[in-house]
Amino acid sequence: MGSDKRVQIIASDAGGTMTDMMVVDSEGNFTIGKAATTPEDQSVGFWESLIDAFEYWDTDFQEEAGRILPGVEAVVYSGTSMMNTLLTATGRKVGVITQRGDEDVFLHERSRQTWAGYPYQDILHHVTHRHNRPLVPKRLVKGVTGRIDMFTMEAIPLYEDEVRRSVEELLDEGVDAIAVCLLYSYMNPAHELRVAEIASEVMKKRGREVPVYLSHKLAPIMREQGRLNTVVLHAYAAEPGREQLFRIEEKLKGSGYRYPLQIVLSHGGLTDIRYPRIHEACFSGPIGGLLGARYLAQEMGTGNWVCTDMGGTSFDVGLIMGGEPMMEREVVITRRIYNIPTLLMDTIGAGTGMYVTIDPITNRIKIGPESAGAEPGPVCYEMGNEVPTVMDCCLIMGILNPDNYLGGKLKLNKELALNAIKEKCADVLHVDPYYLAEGVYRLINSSMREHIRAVLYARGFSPADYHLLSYGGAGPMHVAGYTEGLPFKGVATLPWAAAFSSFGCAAVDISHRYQKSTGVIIPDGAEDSWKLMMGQMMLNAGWEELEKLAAADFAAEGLPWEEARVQQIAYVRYGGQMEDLQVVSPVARINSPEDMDRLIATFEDLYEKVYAGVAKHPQAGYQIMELGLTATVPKVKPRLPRLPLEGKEPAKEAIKGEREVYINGRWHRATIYDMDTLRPGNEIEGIAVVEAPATTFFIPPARRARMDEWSLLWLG
Amino acid sequence: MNERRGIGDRGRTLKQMLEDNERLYQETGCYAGIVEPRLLREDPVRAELFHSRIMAALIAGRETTRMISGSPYVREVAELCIGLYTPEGDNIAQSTGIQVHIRLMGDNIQWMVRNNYEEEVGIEEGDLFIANDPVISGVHAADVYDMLPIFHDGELVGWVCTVIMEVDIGAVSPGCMPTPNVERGTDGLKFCCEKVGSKDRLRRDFEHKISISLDMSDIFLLDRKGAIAANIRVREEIRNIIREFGLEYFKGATRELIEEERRNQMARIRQRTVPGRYRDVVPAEFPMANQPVSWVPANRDVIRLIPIQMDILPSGRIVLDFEGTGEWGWHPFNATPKALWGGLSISVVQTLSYDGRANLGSLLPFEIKEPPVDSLLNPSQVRQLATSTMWSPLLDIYGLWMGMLGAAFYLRGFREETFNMRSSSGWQMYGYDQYGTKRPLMLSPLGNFGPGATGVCDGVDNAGWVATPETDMGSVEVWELFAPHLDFTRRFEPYSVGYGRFRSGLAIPTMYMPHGSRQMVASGAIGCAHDRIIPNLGLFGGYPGGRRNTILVRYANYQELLEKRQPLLCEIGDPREFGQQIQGEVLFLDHVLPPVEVHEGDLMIADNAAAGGLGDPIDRSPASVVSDLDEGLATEWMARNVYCVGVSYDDETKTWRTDEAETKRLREAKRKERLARGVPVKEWWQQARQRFMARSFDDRIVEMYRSSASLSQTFAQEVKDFWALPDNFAL
Repeated sequence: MGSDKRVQIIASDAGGTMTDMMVVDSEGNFTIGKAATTPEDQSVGFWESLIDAFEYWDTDFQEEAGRILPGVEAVVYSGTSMMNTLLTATGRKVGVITQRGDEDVFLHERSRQTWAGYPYQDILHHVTHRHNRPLVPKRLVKGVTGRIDMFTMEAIPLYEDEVRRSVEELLDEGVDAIAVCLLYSYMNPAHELRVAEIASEVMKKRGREVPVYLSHKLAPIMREQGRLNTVVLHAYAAEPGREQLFRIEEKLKGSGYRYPLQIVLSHGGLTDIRYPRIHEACFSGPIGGLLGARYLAQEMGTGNWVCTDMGGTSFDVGLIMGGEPMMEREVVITRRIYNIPTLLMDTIGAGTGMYVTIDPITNRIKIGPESAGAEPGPVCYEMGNEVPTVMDCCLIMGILNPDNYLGGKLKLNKELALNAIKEKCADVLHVDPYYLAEGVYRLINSSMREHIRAVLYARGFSPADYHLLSYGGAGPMHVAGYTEGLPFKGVATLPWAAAFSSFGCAAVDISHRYQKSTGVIIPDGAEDSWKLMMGQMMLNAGWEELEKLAAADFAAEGLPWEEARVQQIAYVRYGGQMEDLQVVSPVARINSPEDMDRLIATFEDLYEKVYAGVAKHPQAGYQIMELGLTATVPKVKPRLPRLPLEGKEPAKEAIKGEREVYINGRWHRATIYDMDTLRPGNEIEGIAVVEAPATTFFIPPARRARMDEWSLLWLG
Repeated sequence: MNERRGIGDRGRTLKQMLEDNERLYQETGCYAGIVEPRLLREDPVRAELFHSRIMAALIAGRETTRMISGSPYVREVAELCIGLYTPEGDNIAQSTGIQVHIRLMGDNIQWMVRNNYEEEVGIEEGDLFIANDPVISGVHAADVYDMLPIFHDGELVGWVCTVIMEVDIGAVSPGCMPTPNVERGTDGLKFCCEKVGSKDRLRRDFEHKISISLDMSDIFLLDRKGAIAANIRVREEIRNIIREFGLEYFKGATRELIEEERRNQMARIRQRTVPGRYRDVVPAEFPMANQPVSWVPANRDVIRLIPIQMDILPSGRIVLDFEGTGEWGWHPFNATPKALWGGLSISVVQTLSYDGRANLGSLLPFEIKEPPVDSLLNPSQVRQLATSTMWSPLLDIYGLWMGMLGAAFYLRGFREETFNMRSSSGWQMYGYDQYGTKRPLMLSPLGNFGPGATGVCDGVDNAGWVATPETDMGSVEVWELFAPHLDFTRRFEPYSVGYGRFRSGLAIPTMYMPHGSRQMVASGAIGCAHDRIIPNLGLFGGYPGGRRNTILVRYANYQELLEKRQPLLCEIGDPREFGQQIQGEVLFLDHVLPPVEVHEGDLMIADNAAAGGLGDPIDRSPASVVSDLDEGLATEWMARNVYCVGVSYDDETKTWRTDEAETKRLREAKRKERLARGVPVKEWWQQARQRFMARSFDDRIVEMYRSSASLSQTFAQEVKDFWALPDNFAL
């Protein structure tokens, strides 16, 4: 075995096609494995990927699982399986009980869902707007009369006969589960609870039980469409996904693993797979990198990071502020709105697989929005695609090595790529194909650069306060371009950029997050007594309630509540505003008017930082409509090795040779390095290409890179 | 004598720059006299990079405004937009959002330039200007423009402008788009390009004025602050772009972007349309007879004809002509020639220039002929008139115009690009909110309308509106917090449909019950809920959509219904049977209803309608008819009588089935019936002519013709020629 130490953590990241695995030993050494994802039974792909990872340590995992697994302290799963259930519409048969009058809810949606997630051009272009295909057909949506109002009072009593009839009809239809979402249930769940009671009575009488999911329990946040989508997601895709997770856990335990399988949640928490709000794991696939960056930030003591992940079809940007990733409470994923707290990942279509075409009317170079995907892939894959892609451009420019793609497993056809670029694009514009290829490279870099700028500037942040981290298979190839001119404190990538997501999953602490609505109003010049009353009645009572919930969950998972780090959160806004800011309360309880002032001052400071002083409006008073709470206990993590710095000169073995690279309008002789052979302290002058099996790091002329003691490569 | 040095390019004044620009356009036919867009063509990659930087700045600015705003119009339905302008006020680029304002924002800037603000008011670094007076520019006073000059080394190099629709501008109740107002003063606060701040800060006296003038001053001020913060952010980013690309490149390339877009727009028009003359007509109804107005002569119902003629020229230019439009009136629906450009902008962005490059150049290939002076679209005494609701006829005009353009697309083979739009009906409320404050409570969800069918598929249900590509109806839980009511339905209204081989998207009615307000008054919103004459939006044999209507149900037994758990109304159903089961009053208020006090137990219904279908309904695929039946989006009556499809319900599978033989029989019978009903055109013409000669129409129709003829000899002559009327026949 390559590592003589005990295996401590196993973390997987199951994508739509491949399952990545990271195995970490007690010294913090790690190895990475890969295998095809097996959607029918994910435990198969999970196991294969483990076998692959251990091969790098010359260990036959199949043989030695029984020896290795009893010593493992945490196995973490993250993946897109639940999301794929959504995309392929292969979830459970779910019946829905909603407000009478809103039975067409999945047909009308929020009209925003007909264009949300579209590229800019299609948002404007009306005829491209289409509704999502409903996950629940209309005949399985039942409306019941009854109404809670905006003051949480009952405005119309619940018509219980309608509820009974609805449940009967849904059972007649043979539904596997019933999802319930009624207006304002997040503030007063009485009607939803009564629906559940009636459903239970009906089911008992009929002798057939199906689970009933209530929106206020799963997603107690304002805005009904997102709440309904969330409860349907839970019933339709998340619960069936849990069954897959049990299979993985069973397989692990069969070989002696002693703990529950852990799952990464989209807000960056980690929990036992028995966690009731398992849907919070549905969209955790893309956030692994952010979690890795958070860990890096904590280990290295650098608080603010812009995290960038570039793959074949998209470019994701996330932010870490003061060591913590930024969060959204309402997200649009797969063109639907969900009330699921999710780490902020602002995505645009910008990937190496994007098609490059020339607009017949305007003669403008168009990149995307469509992508060649893994099949047929870029022209150079020789799988039948004739339309050039961004990757074909990088190949003919010499940035990408045709013999090193996926460690040389896939040979790329450079000539085919060149011909396609010439005929389909360059000849149309009467320009040289290399000029065009470089233009495409610069354009896509620019679009990513502008996206980073937009993500930062829309929130009032400046690059000068941030480091930027680049990962994902294609990130390091473009990072010099997409950070050009942005005054970051530093720009870095890693040797294992392609597997950074699974590293992140291994590096996460056990953490739960809770939220609830409230109604705190502090008018301008409010009396001290009012501040105290609001604080005690609304904030303290709310936080206490959430802490009780958290303590109960911790107990159920066998976690030590007394060791939990608890953060009280308030979402504060000026009176009348529609958006608020997440404020970590400087006090755990409001015990005096001054405590409330401290909370408000924290908000004011943050607001000014984000929106500039001109936007402050304290004369409107303050409102807090939502509270939150996080409870975290540490878990073992991979130790990020900090190695002594060696000489600036890379070892001779690190130099693979030289290659011509086209950049800045001419050919340059670039030195080619092997990434795995570089050592901390080594420095490389551009123009250079640093190659690893799964990624390529490009250093343009007049730029340089340095590997630091954490093995991060910093672009200078 | 030394001339004063201007703040513009090479010491010119902004006025000189504007005049020079206009002269060059006149002389060359190219924007700013740019015969060859050299900078963009010599290095197209650099040009793309330059444009993407500008767009990123604008989109980030728009997000900033959204975060700070206090308006549900901004947060829930994105009623905002931000644009970059040349020093002369020409649009260079625009964020997503309500792109109505591409030219309108610039018209405000040009008004300041022409009125010599540079000398008489002063335009300096950090000055804040606002405007909302449609007499200068705009489509209603509710749209407030915040403008900020961008200086570089002492030279004014551009403007950034944000527009936000406000809920309260202090108009006669309900505060923003009232319908019972006939005089200018009742439109609310008007800002005619006023300087309200300097050094990037609002003046305190302005803030005081707003605080004591508006019921919802906090929201108004938060929106200003959001807009200003966004403008500042864009300005700083533009300065970075100038530093990076150089000032000369910035000045040259921004103008070339406009010229390039002008050429591209003409190329699109040539490629996608068939040249020729396209004509249609909007009948606009202004029922003011029962409105409580102080200027009593306003109390009359009128209908105004708005003919639309579109000439697509082989060169790729399009000329719009509204000759024949009837007279202005004492009502809030009077529009302006400038406002016509607002409707055109948003229509063009959704149909032709959607590639992210829309700017003034998208509009330069268009010419809008000056509508007849003193017509509804060009009142000479507009300074005395109310204009708060001019958006109403404009929405109808451009909903129809999209269909005319769609027909031109269709003929060229771009069938998938063909569609048209229908606008709103609705209620607006005002009175005490649920917290006890008296204020405007206007509601008008934007995602409830059904756009027209396309040439290849049905229209998208409840998701299309002329005024914005980003339609959204928002969230019930947010709207109800904003205004004290209960929303009773979001069920589709099958009868809103425009039948056709491809049907229109369906609309959703609104049904609001006052709740939690101690006193509330309601009136019609925007003023379009009055389809006595349905505009014909059907294309190529498709039918127009249903009739828009407002209905007030006053339950006599609301509490009793609740106690006995009896059903409450939550759909319109068959309009012929509507209200039969209701105990209480059912008032069909099929016009711009006068303000009425409403209470808990009343149901304010707006029966929204959809735009048109496309193609003959009896060519509709029976499978599509069955699919609609299964989803409750059509009725058996429609299947049999309109689509002529034989259908039956299978109780076991709970789905509908078609009967092929029955369908064939029904369709053959329908064709025979049509032939039997038809008469030769000449015969029809003779009968209709007799009716015309005898003036056997409603008085308002007679008056409509008179009004149009009084302003246009051409119109009068054309009517006479068509009907072969004697020379002495007075229209």
